[in-house]
Amino acid sequence: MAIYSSFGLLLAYGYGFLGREGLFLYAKARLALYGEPARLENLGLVYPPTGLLLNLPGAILGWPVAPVFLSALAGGITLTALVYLWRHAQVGRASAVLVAIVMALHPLSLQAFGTGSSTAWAAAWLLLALLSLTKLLERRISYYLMFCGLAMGAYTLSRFDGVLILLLFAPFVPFVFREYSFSGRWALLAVYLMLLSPALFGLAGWVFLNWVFLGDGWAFLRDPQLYVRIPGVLEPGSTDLLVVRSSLLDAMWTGITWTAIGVPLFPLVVARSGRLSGLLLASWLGYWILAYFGAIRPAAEDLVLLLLLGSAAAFLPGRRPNRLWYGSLMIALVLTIPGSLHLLQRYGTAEARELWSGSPPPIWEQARAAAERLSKAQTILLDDTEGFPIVACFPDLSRLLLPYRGYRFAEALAAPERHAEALVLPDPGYGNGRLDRLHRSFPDWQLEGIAGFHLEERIGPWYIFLRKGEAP
Amino acid sequence: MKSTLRDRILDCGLLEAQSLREAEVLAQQRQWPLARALLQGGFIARSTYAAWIGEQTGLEALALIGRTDAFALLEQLALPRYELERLQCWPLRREGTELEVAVLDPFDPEPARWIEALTGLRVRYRFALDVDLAWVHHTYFGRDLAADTVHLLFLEDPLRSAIQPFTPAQLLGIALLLTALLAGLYGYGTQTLAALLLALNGFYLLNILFKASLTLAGARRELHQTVSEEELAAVRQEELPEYSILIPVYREAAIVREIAFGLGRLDYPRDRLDVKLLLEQDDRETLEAIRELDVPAIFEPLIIPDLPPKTKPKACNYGLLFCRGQYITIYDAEDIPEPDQLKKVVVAFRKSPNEVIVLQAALNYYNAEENLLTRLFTLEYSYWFDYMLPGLDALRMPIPLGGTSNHFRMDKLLELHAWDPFNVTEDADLGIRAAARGYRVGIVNSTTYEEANKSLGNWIRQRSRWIKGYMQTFLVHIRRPIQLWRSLGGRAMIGFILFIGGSPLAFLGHLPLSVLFAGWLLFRWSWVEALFPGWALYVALFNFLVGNALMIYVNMVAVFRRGLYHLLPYAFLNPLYWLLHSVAAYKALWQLFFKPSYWEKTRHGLSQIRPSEMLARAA
Repeated sequence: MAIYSSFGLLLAYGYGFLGREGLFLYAKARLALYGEPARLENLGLVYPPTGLLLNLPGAILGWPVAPVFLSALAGGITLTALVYLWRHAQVGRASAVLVAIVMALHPLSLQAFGTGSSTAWAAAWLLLALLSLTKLLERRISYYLMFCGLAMGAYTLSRFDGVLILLLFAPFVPFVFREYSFSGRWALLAVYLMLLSPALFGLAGWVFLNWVFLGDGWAFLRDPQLYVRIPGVLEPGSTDLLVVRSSLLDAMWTGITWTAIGVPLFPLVVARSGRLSGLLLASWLGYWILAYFGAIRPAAEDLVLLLLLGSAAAFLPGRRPNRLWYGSLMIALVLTIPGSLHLLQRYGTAEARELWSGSPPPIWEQARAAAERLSKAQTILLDDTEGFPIVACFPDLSRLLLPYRGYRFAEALAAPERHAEALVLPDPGYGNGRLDRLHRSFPDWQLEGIAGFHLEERIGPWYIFLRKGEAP
Repeated sequence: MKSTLRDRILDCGLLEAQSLREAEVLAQQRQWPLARALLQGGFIARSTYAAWIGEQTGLEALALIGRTDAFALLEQLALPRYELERLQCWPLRREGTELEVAVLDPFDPEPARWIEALTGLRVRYRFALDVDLAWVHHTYFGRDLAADTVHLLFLEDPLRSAIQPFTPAQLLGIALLLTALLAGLYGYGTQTLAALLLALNGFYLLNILFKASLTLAGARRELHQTVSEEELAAVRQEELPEYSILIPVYREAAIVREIAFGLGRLDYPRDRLDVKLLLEQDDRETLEAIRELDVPAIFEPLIIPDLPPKTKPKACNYGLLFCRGQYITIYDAEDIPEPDQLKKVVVAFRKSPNEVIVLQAALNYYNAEENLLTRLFTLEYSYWFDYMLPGLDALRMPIPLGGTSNHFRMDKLLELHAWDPFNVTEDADLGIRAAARGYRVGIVNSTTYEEANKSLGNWIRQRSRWIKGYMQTFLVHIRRPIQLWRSLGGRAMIGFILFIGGSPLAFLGHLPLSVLFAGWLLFRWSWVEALFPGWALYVALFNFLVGNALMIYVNMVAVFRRGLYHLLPYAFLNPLYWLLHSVAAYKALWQLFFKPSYWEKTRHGLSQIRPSEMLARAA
C-alpha cells in the first residue's frame, strides 16, 4: 500500500499525473472553506460527499497534490485488499500476487487511481466491504459484519450509483445468513439491517442536507454527471470519439475491477449454494427488463457489471473457478494493457501540470476571465468539462455552486439569456471530453453561435459569451 | 432433649446423610453451630426448619424484628457479643431466676450452659430463626461499627469523599460561570446563546469521536476471552479460595426466592462461598420474606443499622467488615450470574498482572422482551458492557464499574477504603479511585442477568441516581485536577473527563437541542438559525447526523453480537430513549444541589418474568 501510494506521488510530481476529478474536488473543497463567505454545505450536497470530505485536509493545507495522494492511497488499499480477497478465495498465493502486480502496474489502474480519487475510494470501500464479508464467513466474528456495513455505507456515499450496487448486493445477503450460524426471520432482518443501515443512514443524511440547504431533498439526483455518462452509452455513434473512449475506459476499468472482485467472491459464497445462480439470473434479467422499460438508465460500467453477473450465472452452480477461468482472466488483463496505453496517450495532462505549478483550478480561472468582462454583479454559467455545470456569481466568485439555492438550471439551460449574463464553454476537443449539460444544450454553437449572446473573446480553449443587452 | 440436632435430622430423614455431612464440615470450618450451617449453607429452607422445630419441640419461631425491649436486659447481663453470635442465641426476658433465651438450635445445650455459667440464671429456650437473631444482634451491637464505616473514606481523605458535593472553590466557580452567563444573556442574548451552543456542539463532536474510538477498540476484543473454556476446565476445586458475595437488598420481598435461585446456580464449592445478604434494619417486609423462605438459600443475613446515609455503599462497607473471602463481589438482589462466573474470575485474577485489582463482568437483562423500555434498556446495556467497557479497557482508560458483578481482590479493596457511602454511584467512583492509584480494572467474559426496568417512573428514578452519581464522581475527582492528571496520565484523564463528566453533560444537552431542532423543523423558527452561525451549523449538523447514526448503529451491533436479533429494529428508537435520559439528567442535577446523597431506590420484582422460569423454559 505504501509503495503504491509513493508511486502515485512520484507520478504526480514527476509526470504531472494529476487527475481532473481530484483537482475538481480539491478546488471545491478550497472554495467551500475559503470562499467569502465560506459555504461548507457545498461539500457533499450534490456530489457524493466522500471524495470531497477526504479532500478537506488537503484543501485546508493548500496542498494540491493531496487528491493524487488520496487516489494512490485508495489504489494501494484496493490492491492490498484484492490480494487478501484472492487469497481467501483459496487461490494460490502466487496467482493472487501475480494478479495484484498486473493490476497495480496496469495503465488503467494508474489512470483510475491517479485521476479519480472518488472512483478510487469507491473501489477501495467496495473491496473492504467484500473482504469483511469474506472474513465474516471464515472467522464468524460479528464485528466483520459491522465493518462490512460501514464500508458499504462509505461506498454508497462515494458514487452516484452506490445505491444501485447496493441493491445488486442485496440478494447475496441470504447466503451470508445461511453460511453463518443464524436462524429465523429476525436474524435475516438483523443481517440486512447490519449491512445496509450505514448506507441508509448516509443516504438519509444526504437527503436531509439537500433539503436543509437547497430546499429540495432530492436535488442530488439531478446531478449533471448522470447526464454526462449516458451519452457514451446511448450515443455510441457520436462524432465525439473522446466521449465514447472516455466511457469505454471507465467500462474497461470497472469490468476488470468487478471481475477481480467477483471471481473470488463466487466460490466463497456461491459454491455452497446452487440457488444463487437462479438469483443472479433473476437479478440480471430483472435489471435488463427495468432498463428496457426505461426504469433504469444503465451506464457503461453497469453494463459490464451485468455481463459479469450474467456470465457468473451461467458459470454456476456450485463450481469453483478452474484454471481455464483464471487463465482467461489473466489473458484479458494482459490484452487490455496495449489498448489502455493507447487510450491514455490521448489524454493530455498538460493542464494538470500547469495546475500543479501553482495555478488556480481551471473553473476558477474561467469564472475570473468572464467576470473581468462584466462591469457589475452578474451571473455566469460555466462548463468546466468535468460534467459539472457551474454558476459563478460575480463579484462573489467564491459562490461556485451547483445547483445553488434559488437557481433553476433546467430553465437557465432552456433560456440562458433570461438567467445568465455570461456563458463560458470550452472547445469540444478540450480535456477528456466530458462535456457537460451546458455544452450539450448548444451542440452547434461553434457554427451557429448562441441565441441572445455574442462571442466576446476566446482564451486558449475557452470561449466567453456575453449577453446582448438586458435580460428579456 | 438429650439427642442432638444431627441425630434428630437423621432420625426424621429431614436431610440426606451426605448433605448432613457436608453441613457438618461447613459448621466445623466456620465454627458455626450445625443449625446455622444448615440454614446459611443452603441445606434446608428456613420455613422448613421452623416447621420441623415446631413439630419436634412445640416451639414456634419467635419474631424478634423490632423487639428492642430486650436490649436493656442485655446491658444488665453484659454478655459478650462474639459468643452470642457464635452460639446463635439472644436473651429475651428475665422472670425471677429464669432467663428466657432465643436460640437457633433448641437441641443444643451449649448456649444454656454458657449463659448459666455467666449469669447464674436458669435458662429456658425459645426458638428464633437466624434472621431474627441477626436483627437483634446487629441492631444492638452494630451502630458503632456502622458509624465507623460511614466515615472511613472521609476521615482518610476528605476531598475524596462525596459527603460534600461541592467544595467552596467549586461553588465559587459555578457561581462565577452562572453570573457570566446571565450577564451575557442580558447584554448579548443571541451571541451568548450561540457561543453556548457552539461549545456544547464542540463537546458533542469530541464525544462522538470518543465513542467511535471506544466502539472500534471494544469491537476488536470480540474474540478476546479473558478466560477460555480450557482454562476453566483445568481449575481444581480444592484450589479455589474463599469468595465473599455481598447482596444489598431493600424492600425486595418479592424477589427473595430469586436471590436463592441465583446463588444456587453458582458453580463454586459451597464451603468456600461466603454470602452476606445485607438487609436494612427497618426493612420488615424483606426480613419477613426471608423468614418464610421455602427454598434453601446460601446466604447469611446481615442487618445494617439504621444510620444516615441510607445507601447501598454504606451497607456494603458494613458487610465488608464480616467478609472472609480472598475475593469479593457484589450482586443485586435480582441478579442471575452465569454459573461459572466466580471460577472465571479466580482464573482471570491469577492470569492478570498485580495492578488488575477488580474485574467487571458484563450485565444484561433476562426480561428484555417485556416492553419497549426493557428492549431499549437491553440495547443500551449490551452496548455498554460489550463495547464501551472493553473499549475503555483496551485503551487503558479508567473504567467506571457497573453497579454489580464487579469482583475485587479483598486486600486491595480495603486499601482503597472501600466504597464512598455518600456517592450514589459508588462503583463508578471506586473505579476511578483505583485508576488514580495506578490500579486497573479488567473485564471478564461472563454475564450477569438482571431485571430491566419496565416502569417509566422507576426507570427515571434509577437513571437519575446513576447520572447524579456520575456528577458526584466527576466533582469529587476533579477537585485536584493536576494531581489526577499526574496519577491517571493524559489519555486516561481525557477518558475520565469525556466519560464521567461528559455523559451527564451529553444528557443535559440533548433535551434543549432536540427542542430547538424539532421547533425549527416543524415551525421553522427563524430565530433558531441565528443561534447557529457559520461553522456552528456545520458542527451541529454533523453531530446530529453522524452522532445519531453512530449510536443507533453501535446499539444494533451490540445486540447482534448477543444474538438478540429481534431487538435490532428498536435501535431506531434510541433518540427517543435519550430524551428520557435527558429528563433523568435534569432530575439528577436538581438533586445534586438539594439532595446530593439521597438514594433513589429502584424497585425490583416488577417484571412478570421470573429468571427461574425463564431459565427453565430455555432449558
